[in-house]
Amino acid sequence: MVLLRNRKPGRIATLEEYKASGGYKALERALRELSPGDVCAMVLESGLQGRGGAGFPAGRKWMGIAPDAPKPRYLIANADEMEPGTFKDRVLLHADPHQVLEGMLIAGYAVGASQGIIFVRPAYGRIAEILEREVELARRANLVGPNILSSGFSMDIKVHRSGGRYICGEGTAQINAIMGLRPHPRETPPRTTEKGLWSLPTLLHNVETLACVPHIIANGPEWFKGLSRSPSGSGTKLYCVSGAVSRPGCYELPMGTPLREIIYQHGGGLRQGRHLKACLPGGASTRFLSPEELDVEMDFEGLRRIGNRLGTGAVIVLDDRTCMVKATLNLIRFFSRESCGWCTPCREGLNFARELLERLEEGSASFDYPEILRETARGLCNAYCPLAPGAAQPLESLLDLFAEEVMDHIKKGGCPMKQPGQQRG
Amino acid sequence: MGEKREGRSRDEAERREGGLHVLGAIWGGFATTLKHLFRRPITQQYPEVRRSLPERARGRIILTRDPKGDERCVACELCSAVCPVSCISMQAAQREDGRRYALWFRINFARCIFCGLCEEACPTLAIQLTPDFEMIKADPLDLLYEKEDLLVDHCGKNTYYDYQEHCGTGEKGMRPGELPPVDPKTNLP
Amino acid sequence: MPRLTIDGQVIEVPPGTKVIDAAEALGIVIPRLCYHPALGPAGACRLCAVSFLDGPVKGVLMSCSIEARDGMVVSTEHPEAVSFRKQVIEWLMMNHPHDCPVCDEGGHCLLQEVTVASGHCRRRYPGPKRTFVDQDLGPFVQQEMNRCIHCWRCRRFYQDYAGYRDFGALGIGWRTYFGRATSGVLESPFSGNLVDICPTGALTDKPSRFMARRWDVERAPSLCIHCSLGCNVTVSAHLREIVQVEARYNGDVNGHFICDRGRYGFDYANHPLRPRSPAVMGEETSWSKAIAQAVAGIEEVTRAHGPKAIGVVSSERASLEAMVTLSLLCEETGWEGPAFFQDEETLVKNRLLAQVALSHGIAGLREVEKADLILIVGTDPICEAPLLALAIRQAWRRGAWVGALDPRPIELPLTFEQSGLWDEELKKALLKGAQREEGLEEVLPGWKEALDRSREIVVILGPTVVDISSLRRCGEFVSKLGKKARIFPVFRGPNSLAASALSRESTFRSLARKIREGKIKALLLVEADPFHGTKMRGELEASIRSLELTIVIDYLPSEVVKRAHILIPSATIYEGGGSFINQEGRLQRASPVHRGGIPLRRNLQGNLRPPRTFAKGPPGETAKSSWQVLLELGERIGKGLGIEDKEDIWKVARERFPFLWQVEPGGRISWEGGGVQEEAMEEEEDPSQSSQEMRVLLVTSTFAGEELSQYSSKLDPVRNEARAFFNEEVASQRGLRRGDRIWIRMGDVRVPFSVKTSPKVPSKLLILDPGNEGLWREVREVSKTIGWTEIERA
Repeated sequence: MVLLRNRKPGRIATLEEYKASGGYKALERALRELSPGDVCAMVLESGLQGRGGAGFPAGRKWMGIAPDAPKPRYLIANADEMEPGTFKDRVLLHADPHQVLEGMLIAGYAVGASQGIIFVRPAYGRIAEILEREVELARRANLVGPNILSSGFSMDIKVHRSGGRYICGEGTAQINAIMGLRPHPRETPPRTTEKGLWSLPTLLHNVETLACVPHIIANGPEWFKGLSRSPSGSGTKLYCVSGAVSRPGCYELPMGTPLREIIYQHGGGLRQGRHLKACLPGGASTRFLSPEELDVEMDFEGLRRIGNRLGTGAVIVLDDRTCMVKATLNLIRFFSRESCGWCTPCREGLNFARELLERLEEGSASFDYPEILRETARGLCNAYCPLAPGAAQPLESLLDLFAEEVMDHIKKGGCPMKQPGQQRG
Repeated sequence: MGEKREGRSRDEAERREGGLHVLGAIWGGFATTLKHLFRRPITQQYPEVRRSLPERARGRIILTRDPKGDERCVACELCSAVCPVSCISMQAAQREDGRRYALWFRINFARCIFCGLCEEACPTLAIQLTPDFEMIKADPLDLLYEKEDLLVDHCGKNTYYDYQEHCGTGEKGMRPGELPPVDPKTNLP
Repeated sequence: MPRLTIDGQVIEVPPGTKVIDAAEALGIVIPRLCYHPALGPAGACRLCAVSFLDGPVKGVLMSCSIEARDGMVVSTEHPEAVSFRKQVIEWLMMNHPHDCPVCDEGGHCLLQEVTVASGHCRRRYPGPKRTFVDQDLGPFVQQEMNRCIHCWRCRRFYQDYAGYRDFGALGIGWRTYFGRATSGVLESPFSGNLVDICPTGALTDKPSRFMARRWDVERAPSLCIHCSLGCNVTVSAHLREIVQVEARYNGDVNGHFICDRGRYGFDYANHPLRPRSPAVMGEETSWSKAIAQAVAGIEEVTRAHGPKAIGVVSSERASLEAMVTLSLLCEETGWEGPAFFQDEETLVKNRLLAQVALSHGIAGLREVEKADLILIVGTDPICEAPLLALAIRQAWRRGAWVGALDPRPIELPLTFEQSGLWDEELKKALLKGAQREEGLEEVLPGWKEALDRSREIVVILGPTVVDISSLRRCGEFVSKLGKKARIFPVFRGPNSLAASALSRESTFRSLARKIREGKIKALLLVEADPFHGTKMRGELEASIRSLELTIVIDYLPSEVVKRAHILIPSATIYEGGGSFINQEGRLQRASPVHRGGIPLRRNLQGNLRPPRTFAKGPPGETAKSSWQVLLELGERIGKGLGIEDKEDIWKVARERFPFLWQVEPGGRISWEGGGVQEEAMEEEEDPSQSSQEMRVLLVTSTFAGEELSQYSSKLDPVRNEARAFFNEEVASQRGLRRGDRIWIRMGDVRVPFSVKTSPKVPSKLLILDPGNEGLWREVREVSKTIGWTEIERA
């Protein structure tokens, strides 16, 4: 247990508890002994990959900010966790917020940022209050603000409460939102590390990624790499298990843990004699995994090898009593509602898919629907930002893996799993 | 095969009758005339007897109304654009209820060739050609039909299509196949 | 220079060109909806997808967002790209209403074209269409939100390009609504461009709603003559009236856009009281009779008093052909004139401005857009030459610094420094600025730093507010700036530069003086209305009444037309065309749009239908251009110029007037400026002013005050009422607040005003904007100063 070692039921780990467990030692070490370049090198060597869904090597992102880039620079911690099935950031911030703060400070030191911003989704109002309180405590302890620990490095942290909507979780859209503009994604080039917030170099990371940083600095990149069970991953991962399992929750496990272990050993297996029909390995923007693929190693490389992606590591388990069309419809409804409206495929194409799935589920579908859905899914991949391609993943895998079930819906004129008297979900 | 037989009979006839073959032709002609003398003629005595033309016969042009009784023509000017002899002209305007209609609509029947392209082009099924062709006038200016001469009280050949039920103007969200108007002031789904 | 292959054809383009523009250079038009050359790529519609088969990028990508690079191999007809584009169209058609027959955009609708091109014909989407409730966006733009395809062009233009904030996007996703917070008039004076920009019928032109289909109108390229910028427009006419004016692209002048004054100011050509047939002593008569009367009158006056007894007046809005013919005719006949300007001061100022500008390098709108530092002296861009404000904003978006020295409260869609200097203070500031190192830092903070880091400098200068010596000072100041400082002169009329070049010593004031002295007995007015903008109405009326003969050749129902002995109607720019030289010296030509005549709408019979007659031609005689009328008059009085048609005019003009030598249409004139003597004229002394009095400055506003657009009924809803601008402190000392209503006594008439205050207005100045009243019909004379005793609360 690395990230959640200070987890206590019902309350956060206080600043003193965090310090007692070795907290802020890495910050001290970084400020006193290491240069910013050293810190970057350590993180690059450790192979830390972004935990927000994209999996981009963090060290390489940090190197993207040139030493002579303009100042002031910004560091944004993305706590806008709206990917369906994901709640690891909430758990992390309820367990040990100072871990994230320390990670922000070390990352800020490495890239020369002077202002840190934690972007919190509106549903996490309690977390925003907690963070504001803890930042104030850290400020009083000279851990945040001017001349941190008398090292000459100054960085302030503030909490920004989002106005809402899933698209704010996308990096460039989040930057627009912080500036008070509409949260539409932006085209990269130029990258946010070159021109981000207020057209200045900005580093944007998920809070879990930032929480890993102090441990890398404290214990060394080799140790971090050694924590993982697969050769391509590094560190630990917070896996959220939800759905039809007996023990849903957030589990910190070494990167590369096989999915079967996560579901059956830690998640307690499926409830009451049900069988696993499919599962989403990394949140809603990933393809369904069939039971045959359960032995896959849950890291970025492992899932990519079988044509899937790790995403946020949120495992959603669906049992044999779940109608796959209904599950996909649920996801597509979410995505079409959360589209920002900038580009046509996402704004209109998702509605198209939603309407067809609704009719499939309701029973008024015709036999050309699967083909139209497949075309739509293919077209969704060519959108302005990754929201629509993400939505296309469950849709495409529905048509690939569960084509018969879809056909059953059409033939039987409705959902074959619906119990009589059951309301349309 | 028929040819050969004919050829044979002609040769035979020539050989057999020679000049008498000519007489046969003359008698055949007279016989045909006599046969038809006592048959009923197919000529219809117009104008006492009027032949009923099929519904799709292209005659006089009318402007029809929709099933609700309101005029169909929205003065889109597609008929006037497609007319090969430029005999249709009109001016579009907005009615008090916001609907687009023709302020004036004029067809010059002295130019009209009754091709029916206007009927094909009309998106609201307003302009239609009827089987009526009896429109002789002494003064060419009388062949200039205005809107009040063209507008009829019925739906013409199509009794169910109402374009206003399919277009998006007018009261929003009230038509079949439309959602109620969006409220842009809220971000809630 | 990147070299790429598109559909098998190789092309080399300048670096930075997008693939979509490179294809267009080859004649391949890739379907697009959100991409606009002025607004840049957006990547929103996803329609411009092409297949990149080889090269630095591969796959189906958006051609509007990708720059052309060496070795790219692009296919626009690859099946993947074609099917994706077809899919995008299908998605757009999901919610698009079945409106084409009732939609004004039909016939020039970009969405129609790309939809037909994609081959879409079957509706597979089984669900309902989303709808919106429309807003009333004012008198110019009609909104029909159902038809919106969310290309984001309107918002990008209105907010990013033009800088106004009241129109934008509300909501999210497929429910995004483009409109205002509540129904209301759009605040931007460039709102009409939304109509041009919108690729569907979501935003259409309200004044020309339902009037005609695009394929039915007579269209021709023309020019906007409502200010000196000379923006290019395309004018549509239908059934003998002008129906719509749209922006025409000219990379050197106005780019893609025009302002609302130019767009909706055309209705003077359709004015119900426009002179259509010749009149003698107010009674309509035939063409030949009117000309005969005019000839007889001229010959009589010449016989009795000599040729110098006939004064000739024209204006800054006359076409170059008219001006040239008039000048040549005056030379031949010996008439007094032609006078193009109101008074000597205006004439000298225009000449001086032209000279100063040309000597420093004249700047046009393109130079303004590329500038790093822009100094505005004595000009209010939004009121005088609106599109200039848009060009300044583009420079500002790129980081240019903008400062203004003007006593009026200038509004611009950007942040800028302004100092309300006028007259003496302005001269002092310019003098100090030229002498000291910090330049204008004292009056415009940030000047020094901006000057240090800028390479291209443009000084915008206008003659209406500043006086002659200020103009000279400004010229000296600009010389001191050195570097690459150019001057952007803003004149009052569309042909002022030509008028400056062709002007002799006569001005209208000098002619009026001669009329009072009895030396001039007759006046020939060609496309001029001296009553417009005059401050001495009483004198003017008396002078005109005392004349023996007044011949007016014009197309406006102006005041002088009512007082004409002989009226000969002339053709507008839409019927006759014309050439105009804009503020940067660019010669441009307008083509005739239609034949003219009485609009059909005024000729409808009782039952609202056109007449049922056989006729050889349309009713209402086709008016002749003023230069044709002048040629005929000249012939008849025996002073024929030997000119048959327009080409002849040009031939003769080129020989006689050196500034027209070797200039091609579209190119700039090369004119040395025509000597302005150093002592020029005695400047009128500043009137003595007590502390109870304020100096008066008469100004115009965007939609009121310009001669031609004031007759356009389309602009009636947006004309402002009469306003009086006070210095904020002075006003509060007297107990006046913004929005109060006052009466100002001018002579024996009380004129109502609405009070506006601003800290920028100098405390001794009172700025009066007549607004939609024109210049107050009953006021005899507008004095130079107004005392507080003449102001009372309403």
